[in-house]
Amino acid sequence: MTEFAQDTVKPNADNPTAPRILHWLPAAFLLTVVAVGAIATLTSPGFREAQPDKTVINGEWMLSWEKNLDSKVPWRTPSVNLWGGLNYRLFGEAQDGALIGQYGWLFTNEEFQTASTDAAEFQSKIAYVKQVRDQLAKDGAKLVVALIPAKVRIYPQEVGRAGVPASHDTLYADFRDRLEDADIAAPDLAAALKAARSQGNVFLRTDTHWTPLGAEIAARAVAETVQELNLELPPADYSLTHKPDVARAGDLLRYVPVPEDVGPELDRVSEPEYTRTDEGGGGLLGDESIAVTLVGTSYSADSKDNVWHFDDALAAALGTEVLNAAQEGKGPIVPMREYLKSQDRKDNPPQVVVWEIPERFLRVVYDAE
Amino acid sequence: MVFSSNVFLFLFLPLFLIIYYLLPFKWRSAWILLGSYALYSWWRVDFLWLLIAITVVSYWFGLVLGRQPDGQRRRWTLVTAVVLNLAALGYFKYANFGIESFNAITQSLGFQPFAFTPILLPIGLSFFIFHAISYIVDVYRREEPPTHKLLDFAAFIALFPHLIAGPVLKYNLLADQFRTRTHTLEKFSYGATRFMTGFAKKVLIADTIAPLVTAAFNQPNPTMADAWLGALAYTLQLYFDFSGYSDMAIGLAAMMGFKFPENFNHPYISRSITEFWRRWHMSLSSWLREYLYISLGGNRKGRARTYLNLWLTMVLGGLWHGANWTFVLWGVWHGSILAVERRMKEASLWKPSPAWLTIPGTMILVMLGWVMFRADNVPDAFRMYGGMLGLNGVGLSDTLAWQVKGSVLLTMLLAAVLVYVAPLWGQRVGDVGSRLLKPALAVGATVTLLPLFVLAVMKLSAQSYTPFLYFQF
Repeated sequence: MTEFAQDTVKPNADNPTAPRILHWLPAAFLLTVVAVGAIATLTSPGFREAQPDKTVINGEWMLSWEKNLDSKVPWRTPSVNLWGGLNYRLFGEAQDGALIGQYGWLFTNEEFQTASTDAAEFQSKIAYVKQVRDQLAKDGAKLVVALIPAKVRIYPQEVGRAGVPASHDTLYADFRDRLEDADIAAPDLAAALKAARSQGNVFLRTDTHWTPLGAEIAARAVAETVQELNLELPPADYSLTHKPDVARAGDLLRYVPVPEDVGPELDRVSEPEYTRTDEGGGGLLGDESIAVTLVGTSYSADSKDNVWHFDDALAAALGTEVLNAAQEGKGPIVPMREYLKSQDRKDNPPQVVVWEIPERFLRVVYDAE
Repeated sequence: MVFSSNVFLFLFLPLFLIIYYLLPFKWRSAWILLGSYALYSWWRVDFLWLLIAITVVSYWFGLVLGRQPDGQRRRWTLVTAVVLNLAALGYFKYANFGIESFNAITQSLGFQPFAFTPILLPIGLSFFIFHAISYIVDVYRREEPPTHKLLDFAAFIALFPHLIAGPVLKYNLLADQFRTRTHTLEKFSYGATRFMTGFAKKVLIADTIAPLVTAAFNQPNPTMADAWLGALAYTLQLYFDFSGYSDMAIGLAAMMGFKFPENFNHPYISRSITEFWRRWHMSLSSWLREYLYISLGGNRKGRARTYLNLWLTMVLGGLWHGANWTFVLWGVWHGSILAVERRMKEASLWKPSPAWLTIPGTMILVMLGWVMFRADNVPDAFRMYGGMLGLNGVGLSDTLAWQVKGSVLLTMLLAAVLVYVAPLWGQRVGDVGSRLLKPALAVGATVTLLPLFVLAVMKLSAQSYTPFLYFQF
């Protein structure tokens, strides 16, 4: 007897005693699936799309082509829907990327994640904010950080079974404390938003972002902080109206690919419309200076999904025009890097820059510039 | 190109099979070679030269060994051929590890580290080097005449079902099959069944469990529940991933008329580590016995040397898996237990124990080994061991709890049922020997498999890319 295995070949590879149906059924089935899949693959747009600028010799072209093909095979969407639907109906789970809480509340995974690099990244973010503060100060501009609390921080009861990691408990307050130590103004938006919960939802149930109410509450808190800087901002007046409220599918519903009547109930949103009512606002050809610049993420960016209009709410709360340099999908660091180098900054030297930083990005590591 | 991918399943496989079956038998080896090189090149074209060089050099040494009479000179030819192959393995697989280890020592002594550019590990290198060595040694031992058909030999080395992650094959198992093999609908159907089984095991079970494994092994301070859940999840993931791959390889080979040896035989019902190695990655175990353990002297040089040979075989087998101290320590762990078990048997200290005691006992030893095998580095592994001992608390930590999904736990439960109930069930059915029951069960299992395969294809498309775990070795 030996400690190691012997080679064994299964004797039943072509077992004549197996039921006759097994002699042909698996082959016929596999070949049918492969044939149908092959025809669908050959006719899919991904098959014909070349990958310019990719090198064949090192496999770069193949990787890129295959990735593109995978995303465009005709059974991709039905597959996502089938498996997403099964997970939701059988287990009440979303696909990787979101968590389903209680009462139809969805949360992004990013607000729960932890890593061993978190503490170091926290320090690195503080250092970068200080660096930005100093760079702006050279041109006489002040920095105000609008630190947006995680949705789970405002609605912890709605998270349900999973619970938020305790290491996140003091993250918001700690970061604000460190900013305060560095003499960087940062209003307590978490307290303001928590206090406003009785007026309505301050975050959308099915979206990562805040509601128009949440954006307005935050804008008022930021405006109070800016006003404490005693700057002379060019005045502007705004009026606020609301569009009729409509059902809105939030970005987190992408992780729950089920029909609307099966999945979490949609949010109802009444989109605000801010209109400038005074005689200012030089428009494209005007020479009115804009003293406040807003830099940040999708919470501020002027994108097609933006129904909260934080930039307008901030302008209305400050009573001055706001230049919006926020960008969607890049986190808070990249838009600031780009803004610091931009022509916008040279053309409109600000008195104050409001930098909107969502709490969940504090742990995200960005490539060095 | 992995077997569980759209490009393999719906482009490579149909094109390959259509042309394969249209060609007369004498052209099929050439087509296998071309197809296998194309599959390898899909990863990187610029490393195909290495596969071709290993093939040509080993083929040439085979011819030389075949001509040479027994003696010292022939022995030196063997040593040169094996060393050349191992040098390739050493350069591409272990150079980074060697330099990093050297730098760690020199830096700890206050010297400047040696600057180097990391070397890329060619995919499947460990496997095709072992295939080449097995051929050279077989020819040297005169167990197999040297082949004069370079095409057949190159096709054996590159044969795509086993090229990237095994099974580790010996040339003498396939040499005859390259000369003659049958192609029947029954054999193709058997291959299709094995392929679909492996595909479902990999995509439906292993890939579902994978995120929990990653989350558990990433815990900075794993609790007892975190660590044991992670170890159990990885134990199941690794088995279903690798045995799934092996099923697919055996199935693809059968579709081309080849018979590959089995690679797994219900390893987790083993009642000792010795038995485990007769059931786990059997092709590697068999290779290690034939070409390493026996070459080291096996059990022919006394008791102490036998234990040492066992130990060394497992340590080197561990190192073969990857250039990391974790694999070395994993090998040390298994080698030591194998030596102890052998000693106990020889000293008649090994008493038959009930299965309810020995199967869980063996599983715990295996799981402890897998923790080292899976960890990124030795300190990480000991962090997990600390967690298993409860050094960071007992209950599930809040950093892991939100990542533990009901669907994953149910999949783990089903996987555990398959691991433990399936072999028992098979044995019972075999015992009953019913002429009615066995065929009915076979048909039932196949009919269940077919929709599962379609579900797996759809799941593959719904999820992101997940390569097989053994591709990294």
